[in-house]
Amino acid sequence: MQYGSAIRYGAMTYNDDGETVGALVLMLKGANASKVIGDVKERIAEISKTLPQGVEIDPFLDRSKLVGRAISTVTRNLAEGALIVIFVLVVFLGNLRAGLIVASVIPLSMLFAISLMNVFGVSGNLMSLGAIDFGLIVDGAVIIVETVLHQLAMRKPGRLAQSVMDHEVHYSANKMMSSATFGQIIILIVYFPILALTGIEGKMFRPMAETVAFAIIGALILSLTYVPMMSALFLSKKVKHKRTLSDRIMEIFQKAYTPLIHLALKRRILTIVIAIVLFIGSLVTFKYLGAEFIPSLDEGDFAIEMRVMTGSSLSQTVEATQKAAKVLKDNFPEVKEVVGKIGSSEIPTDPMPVEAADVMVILKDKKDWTSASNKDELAEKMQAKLEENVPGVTFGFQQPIQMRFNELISGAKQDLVVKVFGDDLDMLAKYAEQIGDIAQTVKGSADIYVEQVTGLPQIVVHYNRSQIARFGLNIAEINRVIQAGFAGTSAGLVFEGERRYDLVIRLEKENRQSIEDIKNLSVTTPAGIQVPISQLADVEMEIGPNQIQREDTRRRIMVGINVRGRDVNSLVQELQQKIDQKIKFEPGYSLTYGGAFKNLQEASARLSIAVPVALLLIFFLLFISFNSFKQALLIFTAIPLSAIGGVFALWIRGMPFSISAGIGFIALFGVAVLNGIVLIAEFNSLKKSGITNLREIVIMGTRVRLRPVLMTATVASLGFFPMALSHGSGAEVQKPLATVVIGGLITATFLTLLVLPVLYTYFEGIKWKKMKAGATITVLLVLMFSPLVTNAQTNQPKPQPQTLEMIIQKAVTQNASVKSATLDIHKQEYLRKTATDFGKTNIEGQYGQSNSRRWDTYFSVNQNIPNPGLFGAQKKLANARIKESKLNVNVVKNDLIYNVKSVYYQLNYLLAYRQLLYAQDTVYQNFLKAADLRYKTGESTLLEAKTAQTQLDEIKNVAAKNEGDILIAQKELQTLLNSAAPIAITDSMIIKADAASFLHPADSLSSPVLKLIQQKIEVANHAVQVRRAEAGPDFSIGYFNQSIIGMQPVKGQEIYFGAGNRFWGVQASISIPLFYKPYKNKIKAAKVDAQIAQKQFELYSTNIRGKYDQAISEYLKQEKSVRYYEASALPNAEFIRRQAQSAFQQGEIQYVELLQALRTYSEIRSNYLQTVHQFNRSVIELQYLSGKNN
Amino acid sequence: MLDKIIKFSIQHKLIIGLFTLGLIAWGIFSLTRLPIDAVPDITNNQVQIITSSPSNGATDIERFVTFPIEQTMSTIPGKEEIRSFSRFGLSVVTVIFKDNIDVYWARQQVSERLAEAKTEIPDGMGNPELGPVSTGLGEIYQYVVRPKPGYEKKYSDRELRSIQDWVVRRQLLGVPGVADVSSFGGHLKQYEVALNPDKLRP
Repeated sequence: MQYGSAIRYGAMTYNDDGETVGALVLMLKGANASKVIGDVKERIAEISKTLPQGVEIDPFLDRSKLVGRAISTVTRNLAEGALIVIFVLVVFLGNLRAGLIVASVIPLSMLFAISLMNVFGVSGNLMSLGAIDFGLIVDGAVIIVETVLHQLAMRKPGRLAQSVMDHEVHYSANKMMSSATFGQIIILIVYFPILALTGIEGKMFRPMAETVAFAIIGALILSLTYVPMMSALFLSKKVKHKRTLSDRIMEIFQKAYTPLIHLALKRRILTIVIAIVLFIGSLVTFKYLGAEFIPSLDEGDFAIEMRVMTGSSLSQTVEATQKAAKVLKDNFPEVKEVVGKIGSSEIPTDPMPVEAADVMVILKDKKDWTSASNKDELAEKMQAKLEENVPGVTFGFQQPIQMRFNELISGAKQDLVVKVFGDDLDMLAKYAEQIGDIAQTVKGSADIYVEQVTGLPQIVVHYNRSQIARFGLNIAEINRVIQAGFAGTSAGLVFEGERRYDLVIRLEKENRQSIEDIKNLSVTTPAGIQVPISQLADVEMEIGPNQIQREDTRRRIMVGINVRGRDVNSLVQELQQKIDQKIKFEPGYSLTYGGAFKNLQEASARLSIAVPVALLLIFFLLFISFNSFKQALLIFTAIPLSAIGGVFALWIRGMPFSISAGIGFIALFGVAVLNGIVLIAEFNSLKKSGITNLREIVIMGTRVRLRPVLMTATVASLGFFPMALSHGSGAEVQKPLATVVIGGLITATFLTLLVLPVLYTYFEGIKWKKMKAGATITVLLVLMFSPLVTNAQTNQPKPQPQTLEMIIQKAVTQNASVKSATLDIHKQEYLRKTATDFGKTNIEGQYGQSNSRRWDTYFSVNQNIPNPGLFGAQKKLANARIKESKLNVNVVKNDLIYNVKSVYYQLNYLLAYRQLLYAQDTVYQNFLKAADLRYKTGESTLLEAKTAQTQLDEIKNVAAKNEGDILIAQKELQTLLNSAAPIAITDSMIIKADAASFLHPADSLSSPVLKLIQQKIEVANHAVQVRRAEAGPDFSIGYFNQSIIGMQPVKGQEIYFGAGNRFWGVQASISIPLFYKPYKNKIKAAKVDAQIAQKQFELYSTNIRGKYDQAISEYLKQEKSVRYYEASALPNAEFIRRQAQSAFQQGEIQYVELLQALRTYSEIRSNYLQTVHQFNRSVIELQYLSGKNN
Repeated sequence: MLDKIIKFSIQHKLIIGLFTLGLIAWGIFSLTRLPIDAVPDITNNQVQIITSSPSNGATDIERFVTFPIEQTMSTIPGKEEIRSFSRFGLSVVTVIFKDNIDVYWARQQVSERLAEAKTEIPDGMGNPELGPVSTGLGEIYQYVVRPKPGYEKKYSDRELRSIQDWVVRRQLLGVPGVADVSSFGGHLKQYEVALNPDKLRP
């Protein structure tokens, strides 16, 4: 009776200190890892206190470290990305408050996403949080805030009331919400294909797409609620106009970009050819990139799969593990601990034979490494060292979680598994051996492991059944005896307090050592005789099968290969090819390939359907919103353009294509399409406004949209920047994604801005048959997406009615007078550069007998230097002239706007009048009918009918005249706008101009004309200064060089000087105006000019003051009149009309009386319209005079 | 509709402000609840059936244990794949289910059929059991129990194993979220009646 132990299937070693005891804590499926680990650690701390003295618990592999590292990488990348995005936003928007409002959307949408993740059970990890790009997410908010800023900038400087601010924000948000929503929905759609993934790739990447989608939805909701609210509340209500840093930056970009687009438009074919060549180049590069499933995550530790010869005992494996641990500990200072897990644990979830061991090598932090700089290098060195020192053992290097991954994916721990299915174990083993040999010859394959199905020495008992029968025994009985003797049989339990131990009966250790012991074991027959087993059976040592693995109820054997330094896909192809060539399988045997590459293939197959479907969906959305097939196609060219950069970026960084990179491409396509939309929408709206020259459209459109395009691209790519550069744990997975987006956006932006415009000129040049979507589908989809399409409608046959602001803006940009006035500024700017004019340089040469009879040469250089004061004076004069030119532009603009407004209000009046005439027309029509009837029935005379007819004709005549006036006004407007199409206006009801802020006498001084004349005085004064400076002395300096051929005395000797011996000197001169009178008179004349200007200024200011006062009186008069109409005349007229009509209906009055009443009503209305028109005229006059004319 | 939302937001700033605060509160609450892990749990839905049967060779295990189990499991609805593993003294059958199937339902199905399979396994060839409700990525925490320096002689690995089994493991099992604790290494203590065949002979 003694302490014994159960038969062991596994052991654990610690460093080279011998065997130890340990355990694996298994987490419940679906539990929260970091929480469970936290609880476990807490519990371990408690347990440690209750342990007997001298015993400790030492965790060697703690997932929370990896979780912590991965999550800290993610949070750092996210935080840095967010900061960069905020910075870029502030710079681009040029407004700190606006930047902060948009930036605050980042944490809020993140919180929203996290809440939804919780609701939908998406866990937070490297993949789900890793792909969030705040640049993409805040896109909608940026669009809205930018428009608000733009809208505010259009207003006159000054402080806004909250209600006005609310209105402005509402107006802007409303204007842009379709674009913002449309953009965000497109980004959402591009992520849809990822949701279609299933299996492992689905589990890996769906959380990514889901989280991004949640965040985008959150941002979308916020940009419709929170962002407008905050903008209305917190954006500065003080409107200022000054150039911000961002304006300056944009100017730099603009300067760099303008020549490029001009060049591209000049060499259109070349541009497109370059783009196509680049695209083909990227396709070729893509072929050579290679592919992998998921970039492997650096776990910071190694797991070495160790295999000793099949048939080795547990103690031999333990010994080998110890040896390996010693080698590692001695040679590599990076190694912290080495724990060997040999065979199976108590719960054999991972059943390994006793000759196999998973050796966990726990490493120190990467910064403490000395033997190698990266993981792969260290693994190689370690393997070399181990193979050198521990012979007869194979080592496969992996990482703890990666090993589990692979095992779960394919049932094997290696990256790539070749499985052979069949019946006969020997045949299977033969094939596996051959495949292993072939794999050796394939580059990139490492740690080749051929499963050993046979080779396990075992003692086999072959029963002799006739002998057994003779002794009256049965096989079960003998089995029981053998099992009890060698394995032991439980005879009960022994309790030590709570602890419970088996009581086992088995043979003494020394009696169960050899085959002889079995042979000698006796079995008692029913007769009571003891018979040794050797008499009942043949006991032999045989080599038998070691392990049999089956899959889907067929036996299979496998060859495992780890992939090092090559992508899995190409390796598989090579291996497959070689195997097909060399091995011919017998019937009944088949081969499959498994492992990570299979997932890549499956994922690629799924994505190759899902991505085109999503792209088609986007195409469809574009198609219905632009209502043009070719424009949707045009926008789609952004996709190959963006792919170019993504591929090259991968290539430059030496990364293979992986699912991570694929998702990068997907996000990239979204942004690229957005940029395309921005540009094409602008081109369309320019075209609609009446510009026909495609080149002009392109140049104007790109100029306006350069900022948004650059901003979207910069924000999105810089948001990914920390991810692309990160070296933290887990960065491996994010790097390809970020690299693709950044690289792609660089080319996409560049090419969108150059190639797309060029393509646009081609596409629009070709007159394609306009394609219309099938009516039913359109209706259906328009219903579905109706909020989206409202803004994007393009091909309207009727001119789109435009507001006064829009018309003024267009007039200012398109009218030729403004253009020519603006050109004058350029002219003056060029002239400024002539201010520092030194005059020409005088170079003189002589050849002749000037010094003696010999022929000498003479050269000289002379430069005039005008009086230095002149340059300064001329420069000041030039500056004053530039300012004059600019003021002149203001005058021209003011005139133009005045004219536009006059025509606009005229048109507005005419339209309102037309309505009134229509109403009258109907009344008289009815009257005529009634009068005819009454005449026919004899109730009245012919006179009444005739009167009615005449009245109606009269109205028709007036209406026709009015119609003509409308046409004239529209033509006038069209001329002013320099537009090809007639212009329609939005307001058909009479509107009143807003005037309240101009009623100040001092306003007359801000008249642009006055300012211009004032500047003329300035110019004249500077001209006087120039004249004065001209009267100052001029200078001249020079240098000469000559030969004096002949004998010359030098220190008492006569020396011959030839043509090569040169003599030189310098000269200076000054020219003084001795005859000063002409100069003096020129100065005087200039002074008179200044006086004239001064007088003119006085004259004009008196005039304008007078006009202004008149206009104010006129305004007050009209305003009073308008008030009279609105307060009493109009209501009275209305009353009269209604009373008369009801009285007529009740038969109280006659037709004539009704007619009289209606005529009074119409007259009052017509007078009212005229008065408002007068009023408006006075207002715009005031605005014109005061120059506050926007 | 969007227009109305924007208009409402601008006019009712306080409500939107409260809504935002609510979002922040919800988000922070969710943040504390969010399951955090390094990588997503990509493991498939699987149930393991483990049979330990000492003193039987791989072929016998395959014939008498693995095959009957595989046979009964192959008709389970929602099954995707069955893998098995027969080795000297051990049989592990892994039934992999489709992802949309609840793992507890799957285990119930498996254990129902296991009762049937048991009748086909000869007596003494072992008793099949279900593996823990964990996944391959569930090995979140691994530790060794060892003597402190200076106490090496005091504890044999048999005693350490007893400490692990009866002190550490038992207490760890109570931690929420822990499916099981699988002991590794050392010698499992048994009381042994060691027979000397010579002395047994009369």
